[in-house]
Amino acid sequence: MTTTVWILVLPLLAFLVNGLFSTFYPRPWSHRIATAAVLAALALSLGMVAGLLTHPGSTPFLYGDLYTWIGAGTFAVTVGVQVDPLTAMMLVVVTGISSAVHVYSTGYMANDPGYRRFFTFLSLFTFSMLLLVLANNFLLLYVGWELVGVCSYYLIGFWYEKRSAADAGKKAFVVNRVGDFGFGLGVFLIWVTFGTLDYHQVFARAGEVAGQNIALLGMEVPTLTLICLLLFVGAMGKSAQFPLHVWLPDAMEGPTPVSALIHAATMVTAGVYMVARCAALFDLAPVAADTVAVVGGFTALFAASIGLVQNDIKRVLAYSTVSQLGYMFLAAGLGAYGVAAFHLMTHAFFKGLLFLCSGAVIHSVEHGFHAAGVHADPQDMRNMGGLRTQMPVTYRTFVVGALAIAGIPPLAGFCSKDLILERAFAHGDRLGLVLWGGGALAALMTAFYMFRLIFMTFHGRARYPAEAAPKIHESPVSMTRPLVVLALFSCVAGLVGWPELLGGPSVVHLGGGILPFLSPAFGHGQAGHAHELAAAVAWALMGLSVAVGVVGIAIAFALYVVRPEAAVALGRRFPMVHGVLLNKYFVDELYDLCLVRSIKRLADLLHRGFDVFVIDGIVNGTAILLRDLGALLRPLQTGRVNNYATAMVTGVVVLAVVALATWL
Amino acid sequence: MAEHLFFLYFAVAALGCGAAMVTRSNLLHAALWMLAFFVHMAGIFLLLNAEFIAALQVMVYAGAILILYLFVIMLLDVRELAKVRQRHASATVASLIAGVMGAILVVTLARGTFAGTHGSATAALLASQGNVESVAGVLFTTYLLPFEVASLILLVAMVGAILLAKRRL
Amino acid sequence: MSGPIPLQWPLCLSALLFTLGMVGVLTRRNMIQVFMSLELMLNAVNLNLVAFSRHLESLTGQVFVLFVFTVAAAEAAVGLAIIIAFYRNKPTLNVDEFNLLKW
Repeated sequence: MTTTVWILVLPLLAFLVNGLFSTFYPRPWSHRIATAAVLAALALSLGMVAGLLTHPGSTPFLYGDLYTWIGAGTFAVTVGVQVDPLTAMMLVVVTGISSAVHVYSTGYMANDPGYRRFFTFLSLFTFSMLLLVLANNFLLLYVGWELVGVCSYYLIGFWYEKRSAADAGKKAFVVNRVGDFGFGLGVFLIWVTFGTLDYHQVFARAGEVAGQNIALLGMEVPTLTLICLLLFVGAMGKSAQFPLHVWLPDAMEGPTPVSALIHAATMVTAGVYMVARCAALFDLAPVAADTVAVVGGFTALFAASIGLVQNDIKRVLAYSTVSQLGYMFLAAGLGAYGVAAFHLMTHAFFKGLLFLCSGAVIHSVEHGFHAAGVHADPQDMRNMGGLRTQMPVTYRTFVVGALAIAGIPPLAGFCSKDLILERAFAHGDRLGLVLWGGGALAALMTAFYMFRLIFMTFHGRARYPAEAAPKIHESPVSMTRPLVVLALFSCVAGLVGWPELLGGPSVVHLGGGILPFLSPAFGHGQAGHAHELAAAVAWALMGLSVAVGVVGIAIAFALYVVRPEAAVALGRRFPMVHGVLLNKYFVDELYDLCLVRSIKRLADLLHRGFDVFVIDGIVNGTAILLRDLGALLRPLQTGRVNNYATAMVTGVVVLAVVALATWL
Repeated sequence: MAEHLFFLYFAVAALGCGAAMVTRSNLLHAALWMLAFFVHMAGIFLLLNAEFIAALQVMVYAGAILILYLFVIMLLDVRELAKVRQRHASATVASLIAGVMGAILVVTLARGTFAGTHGSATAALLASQGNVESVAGVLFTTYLLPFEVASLILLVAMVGAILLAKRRL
Repeated sequence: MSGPIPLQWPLCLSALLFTLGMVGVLTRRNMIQVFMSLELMLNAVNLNLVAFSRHLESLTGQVFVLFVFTVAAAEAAVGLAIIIAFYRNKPTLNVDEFNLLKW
C-alpha cells in the first residue's frame, strides 16, 4: 500500500518542486529531480510486479482506500488504489517508457528555452497516467483521464508560439472532449445503475444487471451495452479510434519525446486499458464488445492505408500508432483482453523506440539544416535519405523497431500481433474472419510503410542540400542510450508471450507467461469463446502473418530502393487513390464541412444576433438609460442654495408627516 | 393676567417685526426691523423667568451682532444691492412648504402635552436667589467644559473672520 | 386666563417665528437677508429652550441659550466675513449668482 502511494507521489512531488521552484536552481536540476522521481517509481513498480509474481493468484491483490474524497448521502467516492496484474504491467510500461523519455529529453530538449517547463509537465503527466492506472474507482479513473488529457494539451502546444502547435493542442483537446463527454455519461450511468463507482462492487454486480434495459429515446436498450458503448466513446477519443482519430496526427506538433511518451506508448493506450479494466462489463455486453472489435479492426486498416503515402516521418508513425491501437481494440473487443494488454506493452516499447529514433533523426536534420542555413522541413522524408552512415545507432535501433512492428520473429511485435490475428481467426464466426482479414492486410501495410520510411530516410542518396550533410551527425549519448535500451526491450518483450506453438513462454524460462499472469484481472472472461485451432491451421496462420510482414518489406524494398521512380509512377498511375490517401480520406475536410463550419455559423449567428444585439444591448442600454435619466434629473442641480435648502426642508416635512401619521 | 396680555403683545410685535425684516428689500430697513424684533424677544424672555437671557439678548444680539450686520451693509454698496430682484422663481413653492412645516409644528405643539423630569429651579427659588446667580451656578459647575469650548469657538470664529475678510495678511 | 403663561404659547410663537425664518432663508436672494433670517430661526430655538426651562424648572435650557448665542455670534462673524470675501470677487450678493455648486 505504502509502496503504491509512493509510486504515485514521487512524480507529483517532482512536478510540484519543478513547477514551483525550478527558477531557483540551475537547469540540470530540473531533469535530475524529474528523472530521479520517475526512476524511483520504476524501481517500485518492478518490485510490485515481482511481488505479484511470487504470490500469484492472491486476489484482490492490493486494494485500499486512502481517504473519502466525496461523501454525500449514498454517494461516496474514495481516493483509493488498486494493484492487480494489469495495473502492475501498466505501471512498468508507464514508468519504464517515461524513464527512457526523461533521459532522452535531456539531450533532445537541451537547448530549448522551455526546458524546466518541459520536465515539469513530464512529471505531471507521469503522475496523471499512474493515477489513471492505479485508480480503484471510475471517478478517480476519470480524474486521471482528464489530467493526462490536459497534460497532452499542454505538451502538444509546448511550442505555443508556433500557430500550428497551438492549433493542434486545441484540436486534441476539443476532439478528446467529445470522447470524454461519452465517458462521463458512461460513468453517470454506472452510478445510476449500480449506485457505486467502485470497481469491485460494479464488476461483482455486473451479472445482476445483465438482463436490465434502460429507456433511451423511446427504445429499450440493454443497460450494460449502453454503459459499455459510452465508455468506449471515451476510449475512442483518448485512443484515437475512427472517427475520433483526427487529433493524433496533428498532435505530432509537440516535441518528439512527448509524441513517444504520450501519443504512442502510454496515454493513447488508456482507452485500451480502460476497456480491459472493464472486461467484466464488456463480457456481458456482446453488442458493445463487437462494436469495439469492428471499430478497432476498421481503424487498424484505415490508418495503415493512410500511413502508406504520408511523407512526414512523424505522421507515418502517428498513423501507425492509430492502426496499432486499432489492433488492441480488435483483440479486446473479441474478448482477448490479455492479448490486447500484451500488444499494448510490446507496442509501447517498439513504438516508443520508433518515435525516439525519429526524434533523433529530426533533431539531427534540423540541426544540420539550421547550421547550413537551409530552409526545409526537417520532418519531411523527401528531404532526407542516406542517413544510415551519419547516424548508425539510430539506424540500427530504428530497424529493430520496424522489424518488431512488422511482426518479424522473434521480435516483440511478432508475438503479440500474431496472437491477435490468431484469436480473431479462432473467434469462429464471420466477424472474426473479416477482422482477421483486415488485420492481416493492415499488417502487410504496416510492414510496407515502416520500411518505406526506413528506405526513404536512411537509404538511397541524400535529398537534402549537400552543404547540410557534414552538419548532420549522430545524436548525443543521452539520446542514443535510451534507444538501445528500448531496442533491447523491443527484442525481448515478446518472449513473455511466446507462441504456444513454438513451445510457449516456458521455453525461455518465463513460466506461464504474461497471459496467465494477467488473466485474474479480467475475471472469468478470458477469451472464453475462442475455439481451439488445429495445429496445422495455427502453423499456417503464423506462417501467413510472418509472410505478410516479409512481403510488405519486400514491396517497400522494390519500390524505394531498387526502383525509386516506380513509387512515383505508381502514385501517378492511381491519382485518385493516392490523393485520397494523402489527404487522409478527407476526414478533416468532412468535419470542417459538417461540424466546424456549421458551429462557426451558429456562433456567428449568436454573435451577431444575441451577443451584439441582446448582451451589448443590455450593457449599452444601461449606460443610455443612466445618461438619459441623468439628463432628466440634471435640472434639479440648479446650483442655487435656496433650492437645496428647500429640498432639505421638504425632506423634513415628509418625515414629519410620516412620523405624525404613524403617531396619530 | 397682565402677564398674558404682555406676552400677547410681545408675540404679535415680534412676529410683525420678523415678517417685516424678512420681507423688506432695503437691507438697512430690514436691519432696523431686526433690532425691533430682538428687543421684543428680550421682553418675552423676561416674561419667561429668564432675566439674564433677556439682558444678553439685548447686549449680544441687539448690541454686537446687529452692529456687525450694519457694518457689513455699510461696507457694501447698498444701492447696488438694492438692484437684486428679491423674489425668485421657486419662492411660492418654498413658502408653501415652509408653511406646511409651520402648520405641522404649531398643531403638534399646541396639542402636545409635555411631561418631563422637573428640576429644582422653581420660580420661587429663582426669585429668591436671583436669576444671574442661578444660571452662573449651573454654567460654571456642570457646564464648565462646554463653556470653555464655547470660548474656543469664539476664538476660532474670530481668527477665521479676520482671515477671510482681510485682503492680505 | 389666570396662572402662569401656558407652555403652548411660547411654543407656538417659536414655531411661527421658525417658519418665518425658514421662509426668509428659502425665498430671499440677498445673502445678508438670508443670514438675518437664520438669526430669526436661532431666536425661535432660544425661545423654545427658555420656555421648556421654565416648564421643567431646570436651568439647563437657559445655559444652552448661552451656547446658542455663542454659535450665533460666531456664525454671524464668519458668515459676514465670507460675504465680504465673496463680494470682493464678484460685486453681488445675489445667491443665484453663487452657483459654483452646479456641475
